[in-house]
Amino acid sequence: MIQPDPEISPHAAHIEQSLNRIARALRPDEFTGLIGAPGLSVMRSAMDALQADSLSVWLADEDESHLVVTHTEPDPEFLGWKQSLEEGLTGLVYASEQCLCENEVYSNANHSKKADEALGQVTYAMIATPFYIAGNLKGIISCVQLKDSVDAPNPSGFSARNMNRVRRLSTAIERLVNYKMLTSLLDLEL
Amino acid sequence: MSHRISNLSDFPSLAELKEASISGTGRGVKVAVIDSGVEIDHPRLSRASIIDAVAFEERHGLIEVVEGNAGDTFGHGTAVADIIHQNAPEAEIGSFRVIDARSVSKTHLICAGVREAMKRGYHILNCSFGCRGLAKFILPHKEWSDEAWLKGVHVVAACSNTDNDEAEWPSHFAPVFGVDLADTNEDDIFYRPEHLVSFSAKGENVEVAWLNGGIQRQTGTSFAAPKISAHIARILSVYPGIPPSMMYSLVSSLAEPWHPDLSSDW
Repeated sequence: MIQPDPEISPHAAHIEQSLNRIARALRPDEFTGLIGAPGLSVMRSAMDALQADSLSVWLADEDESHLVVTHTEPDPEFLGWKQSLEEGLTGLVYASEQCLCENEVYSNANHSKKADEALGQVTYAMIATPFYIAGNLKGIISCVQLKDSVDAPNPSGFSARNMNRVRRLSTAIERLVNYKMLTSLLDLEL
Repeated sequence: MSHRISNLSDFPSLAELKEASISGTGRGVKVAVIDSGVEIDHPRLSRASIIDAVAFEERHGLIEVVEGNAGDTFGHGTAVADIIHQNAPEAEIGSFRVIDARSVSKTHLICAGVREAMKRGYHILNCSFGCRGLAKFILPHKEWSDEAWLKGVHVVAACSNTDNDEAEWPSHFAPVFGVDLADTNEDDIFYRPEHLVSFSAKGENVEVAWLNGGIQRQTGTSFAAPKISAHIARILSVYPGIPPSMMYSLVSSLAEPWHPDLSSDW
């Protein structure tokens, strides 16, 4: 069991406030630097395990009107894509803070087809889970399986087990970011 | 044929209850879908008896109750109604819309919706939603779920999609039938003792009615909960008047034992 550090614990409330302040001010372009090589590694291994074609981290922009793709694997083509929070399944997950796992996404009236049309693909399956930093909702993590056209054969699809894996990935990335922010805040090199 | 239970000596045997859970149709039982509304002209609901369509909306700080407000904000409530109808075809369904197009609600809208359903004599409240398990939300949700318990109304609630131990209201209240999804293709109901969320049913890749007359495949605890609601409706249609306390024991006795392979965690 880890005991609270007697030198740090009296400052816990102040540290928490500072972390929240840093998290609120975090810009999407700073994200990849924060997660570093360990973050990239867990994302890539999750993507392989899920047989996903793409995995993206979307962060809410400053005025919380849009989600912006801040990190994406494997192809950076989608990086910087912006989608209104009022739109699509990503906005729905952000608003409700509930995980989503859906196959045949392309036939769902709530799915925004803008990204698919721009990238010339069809999203077949999607998992999306809320993403928090310092305990505050900051964005979502999505995983998709794609196909070239509606008539193309269906990929394997996602399951509830896959959804749990993405939820755990989201927690792992949050912890990594929290740790980075905390060590930077306390000026520690651990 | 239905048998009203007035004392314990009239109580049916487990075999009779099992038979009721199979042969019951839901006739005479009213199930409230506390959700995003129901698309009542959806082809899959053409034979369903939808007796209420009420929306609860906030305007200028007041709750407006809009009668006859058919329509679903994003498809979820239609899916839930479809599952209830498929599994208890003669149950009467009421749509109480408290969730908006972003899948978001507010505690006071939910409280208004469930209270209205109880006032209208609904026997089962299907709550395929969960309010984050923060202390500030406990009291209002506990009040209405206790009220349901005292009135003999059965509350069935979905738990969190990713962790059944994560506190959410109302699924984590002991008198509520908390429902998780089971990783199975069977239509069975499973019971996991010593857990607040003790029931589970198929909730993965379920074919359901969705917006604009559409059909979707959906995964989530939301689609497992209505299977339990329908199961209770079937029993109540044969043995009306069973209170929630007894129904909890009965459903758990009739259910298959839960085993770890049913968990969607890894």
